[in-house]
Amino acid sequence: MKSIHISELSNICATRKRAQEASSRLQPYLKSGVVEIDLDSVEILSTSFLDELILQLMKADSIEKVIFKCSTSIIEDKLARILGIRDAKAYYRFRNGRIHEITPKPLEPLKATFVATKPASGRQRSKASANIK
Amino acid sequence: MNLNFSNVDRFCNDINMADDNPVIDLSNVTFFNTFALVYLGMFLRYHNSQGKSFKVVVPQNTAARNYLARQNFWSRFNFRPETITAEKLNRFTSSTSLNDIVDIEKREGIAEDIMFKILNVLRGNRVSVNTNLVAELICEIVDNFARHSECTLAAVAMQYYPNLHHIVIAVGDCGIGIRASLTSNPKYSHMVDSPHCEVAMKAFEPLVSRLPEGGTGLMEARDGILKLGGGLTLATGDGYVIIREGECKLGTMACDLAGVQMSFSIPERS
Repeated sequence: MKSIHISELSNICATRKRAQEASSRLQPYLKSGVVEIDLDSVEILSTSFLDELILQLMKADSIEKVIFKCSTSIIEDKLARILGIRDAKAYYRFRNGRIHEITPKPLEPLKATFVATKPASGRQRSKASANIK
Repeated sequence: MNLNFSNVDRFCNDINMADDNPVIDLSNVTFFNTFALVYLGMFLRYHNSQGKSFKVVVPQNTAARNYLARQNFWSRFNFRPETITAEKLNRFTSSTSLNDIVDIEKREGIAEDIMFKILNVLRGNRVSVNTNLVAELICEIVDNFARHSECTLAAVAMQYYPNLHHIVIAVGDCGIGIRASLTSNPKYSHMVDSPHCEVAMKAFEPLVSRLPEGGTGLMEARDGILKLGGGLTLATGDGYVIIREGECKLGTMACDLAGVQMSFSIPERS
């Protein structure tokens, strides 16, 4: 199994555009089999980036050939949210542990209320001088 | 008068647009919050694009007047220049903001550029927030504006309030707005006459996008802001959505302004 660090696919992991480029760079590796992508030690790893990467892998029918590896549960949580939304499955390795399927996480809907009168701003200002800092 | 989300729409709506050079009377404004600054800027930019230029009565309050100068407000929007010459010369800078209403051009890497600029302010001031998550939010929102607004320029402003222990980031455009954008997807075309606020609320749902494969941008922004204990305010057309403390309120603005204007506030960790 080939293992590569995400920075080899994209030096900044923040936008969808970056994820599309990363996915293109990943495709040649996937032709040889399963690839483990190490997501550790990345300053910014946005949910949009991961969502787009997963979306591109789904489109290429290769999501099941990828194992995401990370040592923080924050990343697993992000992946679980995305998989819940996209109704997809993917595999994950926490640190050097066993590979497991990520359990998709359902999202809780936010209840909205229509209000006839526009409420005041959340943080009303009391000092005019607050504009100069 | 503090110009903020609760009154900036009425302020704009009261401007007499029948005049050849409508008057923007800011004389009584003593404070501009970041959302109001961007909302007013987008109001001006939209009408500038329709051929209007404005006369301005500058704030009497020195701090408010200087704040507009620091934010490069006079240079970003098209006023009759003779009304503001003195203030234009009065630029100064501070370490707690971008010192500008930064234009969001449609070019590659703009979201990352703005993200790093704001990160510099946050790190330079040792702001006690989850900077990585805030950076992610900024990048997400700016990228959304750059990709979806269908107008040449959007703009972003940020302010750190050290005494109040929070940051505010506002982003706006005067493009096609959420309703026109979302209903360009046939799946949501039935909402073409729905109130702006309802369509905006819909856009916060997962995979609801004008793109066929769906997007998660606004939903991720919403959840990230709530996770950080912050709040989000969004206006589009004559609708608004406020999300704060797990609650969502929507309603109608007094002014029907093209595009999308939003701000989010993140408190420092105590």
